[in-house]
Amino acid sequence: VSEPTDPRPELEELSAVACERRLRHTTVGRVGVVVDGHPEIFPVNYVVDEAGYLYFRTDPGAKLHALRHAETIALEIDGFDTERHSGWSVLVVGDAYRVADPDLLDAVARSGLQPWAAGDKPHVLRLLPTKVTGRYLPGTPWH
Amino acid sequence: MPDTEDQTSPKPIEPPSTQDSPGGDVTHPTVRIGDLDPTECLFLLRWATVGRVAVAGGEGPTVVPVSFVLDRDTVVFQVQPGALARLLEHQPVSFEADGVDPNHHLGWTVLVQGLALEIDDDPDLEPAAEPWSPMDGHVTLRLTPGTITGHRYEMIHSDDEPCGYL
Repeated sequence: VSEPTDPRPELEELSAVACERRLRHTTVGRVGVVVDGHPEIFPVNYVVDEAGYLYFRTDPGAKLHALRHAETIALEIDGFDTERHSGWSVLVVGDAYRVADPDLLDAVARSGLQPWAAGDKPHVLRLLPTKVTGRYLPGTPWH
Repeated sequence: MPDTEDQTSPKPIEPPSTQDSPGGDVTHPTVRIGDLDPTECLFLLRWATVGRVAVAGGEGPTVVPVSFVLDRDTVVFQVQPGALARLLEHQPVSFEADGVDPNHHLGWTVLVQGLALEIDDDPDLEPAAEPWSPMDGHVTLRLTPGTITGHRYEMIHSDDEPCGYL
């Protein structure tokens, strides 16, 4: 139990609008996926479409590369200021599907989510958010 | 104020920008250039202060950022008391940290998987000077690695093809 005089501020919830805004202005996130009961985390670049769906590529070595059915995954983004001791994070949970539609793959590629190596056949996953939550830690004032 | 509550108008798929990239500028194409052995992974973790922990929950995985310290090859971090803390103590846990060296166009990611146990508070281990340290009450957890894996990435320079991490 921390001391009652702890000056650090409390976490605040981010609104849905604030979460969406941060999702649209961030490009790097961490995907969480559970494989045989064991969670895995890996960093990804992602893009967002106008409907709010998230797209990211999979590493050929990653378990998700072999995804054949929808799978519930998480994508987390955050940012922090180590000098002000402030930070925020947004967690998106939803089902991920492999994108097979060539037109959609083209649109995603044009958005900047390119294959990572020449000749590679990228697997692009589409995450349909079902739950989006965010929190914010205001900066600690200087003493 | 948590945030500006302005309305974001619908947009088409957006090209990545470098704004708010936690690990730095990672909008270049990346190529995996090698695995890291556990010793290298632990070395990199000693220079990092923020990571993310993940645990399986009833509604899917949960991923949260944490400040951490590396103590005798274990990862010590704090979370607020509650459902997440209880999950972390009773389920397999993953911890990930990553970093980018923009000067040398290199990036790395390390994944630690194992079990976490609550430990007594130790002022020497509290990552209190960093963000993501819970404030009003906290649970201190020690994640003992079952496996430590990591990869290094090289970012390829390209002005017209901004690209991703993996």
